[in-house]
Amino acid sequence: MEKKRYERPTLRKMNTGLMNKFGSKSENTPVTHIENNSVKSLLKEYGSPLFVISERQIRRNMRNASRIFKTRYPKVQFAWSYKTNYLDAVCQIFHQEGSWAEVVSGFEYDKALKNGVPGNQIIFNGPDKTDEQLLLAARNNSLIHIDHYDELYTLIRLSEEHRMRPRVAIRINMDTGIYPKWDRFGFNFENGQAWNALTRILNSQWLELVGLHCHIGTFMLSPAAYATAARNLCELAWSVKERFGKMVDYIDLGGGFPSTNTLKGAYLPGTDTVPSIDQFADAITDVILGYGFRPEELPLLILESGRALIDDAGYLLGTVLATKRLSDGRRATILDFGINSLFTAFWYEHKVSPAQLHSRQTEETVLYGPLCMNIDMVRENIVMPLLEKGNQVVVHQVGAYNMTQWMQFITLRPAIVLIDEENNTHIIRRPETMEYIDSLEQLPQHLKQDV
Amino acid sequence: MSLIELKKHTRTAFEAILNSYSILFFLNNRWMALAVLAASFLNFYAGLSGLLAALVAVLVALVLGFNPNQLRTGIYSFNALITGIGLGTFFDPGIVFFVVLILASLLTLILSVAMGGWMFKYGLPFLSLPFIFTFWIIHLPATEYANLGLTYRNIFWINELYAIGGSSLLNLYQQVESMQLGVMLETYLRSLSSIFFQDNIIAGSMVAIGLVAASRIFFSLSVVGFITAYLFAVFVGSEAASITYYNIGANFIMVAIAVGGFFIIPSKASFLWTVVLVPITSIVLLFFTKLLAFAQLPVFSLPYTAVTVLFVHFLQQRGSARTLVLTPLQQYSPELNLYSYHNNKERLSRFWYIPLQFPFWGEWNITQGYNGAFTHKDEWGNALDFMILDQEGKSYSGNGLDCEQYYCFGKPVTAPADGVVTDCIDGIDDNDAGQVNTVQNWGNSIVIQHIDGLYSQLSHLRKNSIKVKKGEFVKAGDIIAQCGNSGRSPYPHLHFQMQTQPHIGARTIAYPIGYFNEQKYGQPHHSLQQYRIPEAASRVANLQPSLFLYHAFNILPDTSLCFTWTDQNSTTRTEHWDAYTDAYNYKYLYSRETGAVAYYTCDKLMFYFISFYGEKQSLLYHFFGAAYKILLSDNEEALTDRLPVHLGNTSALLRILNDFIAPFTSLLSVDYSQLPTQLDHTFETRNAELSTGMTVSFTGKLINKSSHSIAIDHRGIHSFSVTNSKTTLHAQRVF
Repeated sequence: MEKKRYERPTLRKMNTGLMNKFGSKSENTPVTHIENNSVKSLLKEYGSPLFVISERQIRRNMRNASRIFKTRYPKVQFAWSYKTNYLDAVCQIFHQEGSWAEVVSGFEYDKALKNGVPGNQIIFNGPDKTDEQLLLAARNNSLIHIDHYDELYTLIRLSEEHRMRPRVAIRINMDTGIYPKWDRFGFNFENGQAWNALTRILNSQWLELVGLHCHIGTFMLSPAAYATAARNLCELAWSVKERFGKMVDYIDLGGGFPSTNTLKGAYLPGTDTVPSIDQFADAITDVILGYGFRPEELPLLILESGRALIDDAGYLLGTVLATKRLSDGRRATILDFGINSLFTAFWYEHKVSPAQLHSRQTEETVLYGPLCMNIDMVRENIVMPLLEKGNQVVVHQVGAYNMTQWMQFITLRPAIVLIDEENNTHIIRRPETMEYIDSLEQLPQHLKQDV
Repeated sequence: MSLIELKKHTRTAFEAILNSYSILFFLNNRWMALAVLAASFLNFYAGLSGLLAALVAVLVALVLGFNPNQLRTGIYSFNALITGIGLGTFFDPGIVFFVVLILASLLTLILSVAMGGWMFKYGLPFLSLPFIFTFWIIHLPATEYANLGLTYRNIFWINELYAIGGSSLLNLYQQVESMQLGVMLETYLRSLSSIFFQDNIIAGSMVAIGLVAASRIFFSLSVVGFITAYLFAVFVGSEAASITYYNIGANFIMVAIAVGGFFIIPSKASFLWTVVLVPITSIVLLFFTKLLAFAQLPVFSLPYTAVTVLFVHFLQQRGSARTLVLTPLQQYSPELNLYSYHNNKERLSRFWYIPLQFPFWGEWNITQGYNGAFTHKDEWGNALDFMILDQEGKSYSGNGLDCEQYYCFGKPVTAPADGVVTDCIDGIDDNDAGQVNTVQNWGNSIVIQHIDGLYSQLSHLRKNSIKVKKGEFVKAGDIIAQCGNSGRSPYPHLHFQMQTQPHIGARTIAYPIGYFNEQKYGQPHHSLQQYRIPEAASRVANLQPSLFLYHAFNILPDTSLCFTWTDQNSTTRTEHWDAYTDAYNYKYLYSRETGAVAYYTCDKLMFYFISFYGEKQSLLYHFFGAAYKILLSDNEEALTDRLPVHLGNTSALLRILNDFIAPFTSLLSVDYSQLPTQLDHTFETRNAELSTGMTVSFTGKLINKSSHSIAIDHRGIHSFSVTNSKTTLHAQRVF
């Protein structure tokens, strides 16, 4: 029998007043294992902190999303949003599940090619495409989503110079009734800019219009906004058909479906408020199917969902460095990872679970990272059991954006482990080392020290 | 009559006369025709009068405007030919003789056409009945015609031989006759020659050689027929009465060929029945001999005709048959009939079904198949239940107590094929999960009529979700309702059945789904299925058609394709193919230069060739092999199929070897495959590359392989190439 653990004493304020409907107690269910691998052994083997990704969960998410859309609409294609997580291992899982690649820079484009994605299954988005990148994409038969007039004219010029006819779509921004309105990307729908751009493309013999693209925002909580977006795209497609006698091949509604993370400032947890993908799918497909296209001319529906497919497949495991009491009496817990690794701590109130059994006693605490910077705060206020140095914690739903937006700042970035469908672990990104950081640096001769 | 017409008619007459000779042995083969023609002239006047009679019959029929295509087969003139040979054998030539010959020829033609008109509608052949009747009719009055002399030439026919070929032919004849061939072989050869009233080893050998060259199966059957007749006669002790050369040749061997290989697809059973029918023919023969002796009429080939017609009619009375199958499409070669039959049975047995698609989008699971464990019983056995399952095999999320939690609930239900809505019930409440409504068993349902007597029924639909009305026309893939939980449905699912009656809940029939992907239970991958009934517990999905490929392969009737290529001698050659539709609505390509014909069919998802007739040297044959079957979808699965043995690229020797044993088993097999199609892009496709292959195996060992590629651009097929051990060919389309 394990020795009974000592738990430090804690003082709790007596709450008086009426009971509220949310009850009074927060449960902290310990998460000791991830897909049959104990947190303790994972951290022991790969070091702390550590990102863990579940292959099984990625595939499950992808198949669910695929099923949800494909049973509602006859032609659906997913494109994996590289910026959400472009670890090779992660991308390959999505590609194996049939996803194309959606990239927003030359670097991501090259990465997709390197991952073996055929050129004609890469969607090149974003406002930043150099002439060379545009040429490469055109030669590879990739789908180029034009973001602004400068890009449109550049592409027409390049195509004419090189006698090519690349397949393009334009990105369209619009008012879908949500705030903030993303109008910095693409051509505006309401003021006629989008129609203007489409007219130029359709009148140019150097570009082949194949699709219409929009991406109305991120972490969207309103299916109705997608219905509006889908209706606007259908309207444009219909106008193109009427005026130019050409039916666009696809409608790309981008991504933006939320995960069940809780946004900062939200009153209720994300698991209770976030609409299911089914609701988004209903909103989108009802509009397109009801718009009046003939069955054989229905456009392919492309979705570039990222976050909703990967967030809950990622975990961040870490260790308590110290606990202390702040001047106002609040408890503070210092962890060995901070906002440098967990970038999304800026956006979400992440769910953090203890990784070992505790008593039922809990306390409110601040979770700080290890950085010597004031901004490094993982959670401003969370109810946790009585943590002590050496205890381990699991942060949930960290699969999206963290492993692309993390910073090498003050500390080195940790390792990433993939748990496959047989529950075996594979290291898919080694922890950073001094040599790795140093390898890019060059010291001018006059600054070199004689050792 | 213009020159072109005259040329056409001359050609028809020429072919009709030639075919009259080979059709005597149920063949359509030049070598056989020449062999019989030459052999008939060994008795010069007999040969001449045979040719003359055939010529008269053909010309008169042509002038009177009978269908040239039917004339060309020789079917209306071969009786005149035998009559002519017969008269030439028994009577002396002279002016009276030739007048009688022409009259007899006309009579035979009239009888042939009349009997054809009467018997063909029952699917029965008249065989040599016109000849027999004509001969009987001539036979009795002939004794009254003083100026028509019976000849002794057929007794002293060596004189005749000398007259034709001088002493060299006579020497040859004597050498052959003096060879020690063995009684059996000699009898066999003389019997073959006696079919046209000769008694001559040379003529018999010519026919035998022609027979082997034209058909190995007929040759085998002629031997089987001969031996059986001989053994039976010995067994019952009737040699003296029944065993004459003529009877063996014109009755026993002919009945063996006709029943064993011509009217029936050659098989173990057909050989066995040959062994049974030859003795029956022997009995019939003796019966007719005794009976007709009173009327002083010769029996000739009446026993063979009677037994064959009787037996064919006997077999016709079955519905569909698995054994002793009557030849469905007569190609005048037992080998072609056999190979085509086996291939068609495998490939085209479902040709008549309309291509149904699943009534939904995406992947669904079959939770109850045909004759399932729950409700698909008895008359309602041929039905399918579908649900959507996730990768863990669950049909719902959450606790499953609410219909909305089921993945399939509320999902679009689509029309399985074009049709008219004939019945429709809506307004029945969806049950709570776990409850059933046995009063309104079928729940909300739609019945669609697709063709006369073919209806589909979709049931347990969601309340108020039906989007169509009675009498409305729906197209395949149109959304018509949503999946629900009404009627006898404890959990949301879609019930689908095919029926021949228009009312809801009619008795079900088994009916395959056209083309689909199927992941069988417990298997990791899906595979392409064609015209199959999907298995229970498998996961299925429709295929997405590719319009780009469809436009390339949907070769419309009354259009032309022209290809040029450089042959082995570095000369540039051109071939034009015209697309036509025949009287039966089958589409075919006709090669102007070679006359080759390839029948094809094309629907939204599949282009394939049905058959090919003509020279294998033609470019059309290469295209037939390259595009034997093309899936018009950018599906990831390879497609496989099989060619009939005679249309594969096989060596002559192996083919001949295979022909001999083909009725029992086939050692040769010709397999075809199409690799997944490479499109340059899913959107605004500009070009596509198709790769196909054909392999020939002998006893499972690969002996020949050819690979093909077909390139397509926005104008359609623009080139194709064929590479094998013998040929490398690249044909370019001329637009």
